[in-house]
Amino acid sequence: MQLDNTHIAVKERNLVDICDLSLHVMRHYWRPIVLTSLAGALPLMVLNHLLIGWMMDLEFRDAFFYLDESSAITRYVWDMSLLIAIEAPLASIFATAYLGQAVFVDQPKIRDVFRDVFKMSPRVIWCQLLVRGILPAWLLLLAVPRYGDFEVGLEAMLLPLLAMYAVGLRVFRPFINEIVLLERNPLISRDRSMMTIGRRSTQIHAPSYSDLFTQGLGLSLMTFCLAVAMFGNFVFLKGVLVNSWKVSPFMLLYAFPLACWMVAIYINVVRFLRYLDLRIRHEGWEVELRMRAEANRMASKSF
Amino acid sequence: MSSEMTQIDSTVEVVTPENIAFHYQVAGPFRRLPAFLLDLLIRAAGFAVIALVISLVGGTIGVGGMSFAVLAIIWFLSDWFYGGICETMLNGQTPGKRTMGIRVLTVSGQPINGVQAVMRNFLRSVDMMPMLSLEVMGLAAPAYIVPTCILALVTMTLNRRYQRLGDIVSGTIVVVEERQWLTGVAKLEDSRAAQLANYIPADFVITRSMSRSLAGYVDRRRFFSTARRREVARHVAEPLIERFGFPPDTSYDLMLCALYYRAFVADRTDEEALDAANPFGPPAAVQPFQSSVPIPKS
Repeated sequence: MQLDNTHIAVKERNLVDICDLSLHVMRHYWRPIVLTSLAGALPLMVLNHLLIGWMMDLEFRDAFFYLDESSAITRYVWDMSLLIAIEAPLASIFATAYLGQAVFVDQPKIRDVFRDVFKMSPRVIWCQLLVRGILPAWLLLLAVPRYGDFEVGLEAMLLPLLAMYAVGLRVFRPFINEIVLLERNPLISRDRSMMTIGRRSTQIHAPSYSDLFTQGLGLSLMTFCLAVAMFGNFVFLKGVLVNSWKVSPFMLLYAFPLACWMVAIYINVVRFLRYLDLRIRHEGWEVELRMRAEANRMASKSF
Repeated sequence: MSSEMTQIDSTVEVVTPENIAFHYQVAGPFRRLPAFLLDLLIRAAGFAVIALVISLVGGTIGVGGMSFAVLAIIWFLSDWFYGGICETMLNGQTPGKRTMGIRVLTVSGQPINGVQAVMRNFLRSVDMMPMLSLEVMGLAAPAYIVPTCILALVTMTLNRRYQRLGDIVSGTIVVVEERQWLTGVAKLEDSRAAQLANYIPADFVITRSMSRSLAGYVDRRRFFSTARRREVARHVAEPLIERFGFPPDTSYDLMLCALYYRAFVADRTDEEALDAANPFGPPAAVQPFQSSVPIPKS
């Protein structure tokens, strides 16, 4: 591994350049990114379907409650959007670990990536499942009676509040996956000089809160537009193939979450490149890599 | 960064017919989007002004129906020819592109001609496909007017030069016009670096890659905290301090500055370079091995 010969060019970039470069990265590593992202997202897709898929079960809807079709669709889209917004970082853990290795290693083995992530699983569970509100979101939706009416308290108040908390936390502290999986800091330590996950998170994020907030707003808008465009694309494809332009419950049940997850995968790549950029700007990471590479070269020449 | 392997980057090499290679940063979809939106705004504002004038004139002379037809023709022309005409007249730029600092070139780095400019703008309507009907959103009768631009996004993702279909057909690329300043030798504020450089053994050769690394370090060190400078410089400075037999408490940062001075100033015979880069004045009676900031070594 030659530290100053990275597979992704390490230099300062602005947000639009990072978004553009992410397309290149996706093209170059499309197979491992799809595989690792599926490994993260597929269980969540199944879980989400089990949690709220019944809302689009229109036969049962007719039998059990009196919501009209458009209200049922709105309810499902609302709950699913919030759920994916909360879960997206958890789905990206394998892809993040892969990209972290791919910067330096030529074709990292996916098996090694999975092994590394599983080693870090207690920290991931704490940081993502608990602190970032994923488990509470699941519990909330589990509390919604199946085939029951729209629960105003749970679905219109608590779930959006939880989503706001999770997204807000992610806007200001987006790089928790990178800190946990790539920097591998311990969760807690009695030694005050030890760089724990919390201390490192504060160290890397706190000087850039205003930048991160601005970028977060821009990315949120972009995510929304991309998700709509992607879903629209599925509607168009279906229209061309079966000559039916209506958004059917089937489309909402499968194509809508798929469109959202596809955008989430892309945003994950953007987030990883933003992490590299932040480290370059604030810590001179590219300079450190060069120095470490020089040190390695000097050592190999047995000074 | 050294580039022994092909790195994933948005920079492409363009070789002109004169066999001169230029490196351009190509503009991707997200870099181009603000320019497109700005052009759209300019067109809409221009159209609103023209519509106002024509409506007033048409109303005054009593040809209201005619003015509607004129407006429809103007909208059609501006929609299809605004980009093509601007890019032909302004050497590959529209007002939006000029504001955002991007320019259209041919794939061989030449200015584009009128046909290329018009062609790539004609095909924009294809790149915006698939169009969505407002009906999908439950708003109105079928009218396919909402562009998703997914075709352009997919096409640009699939090629290294971020070319949409219009670019591929016309043989053009969109590049970022960024002026990069070539900086000279960095100024070192600590005169002890020059003194310490004199103690570096004469037979120590600073390699090309190390020179680049030192230049990168000295260029960026002013943005680092003292602790961070120490952390970054330690990798190279620590083994060298040991090798040269310098006192163990020698500042790592100072050590790298001394190496930089040795590589870029002391070893150069160019008088101008020496004048430009010797900011220290006469050596003061200071101890070169003294650490500038005493930090306990870990």
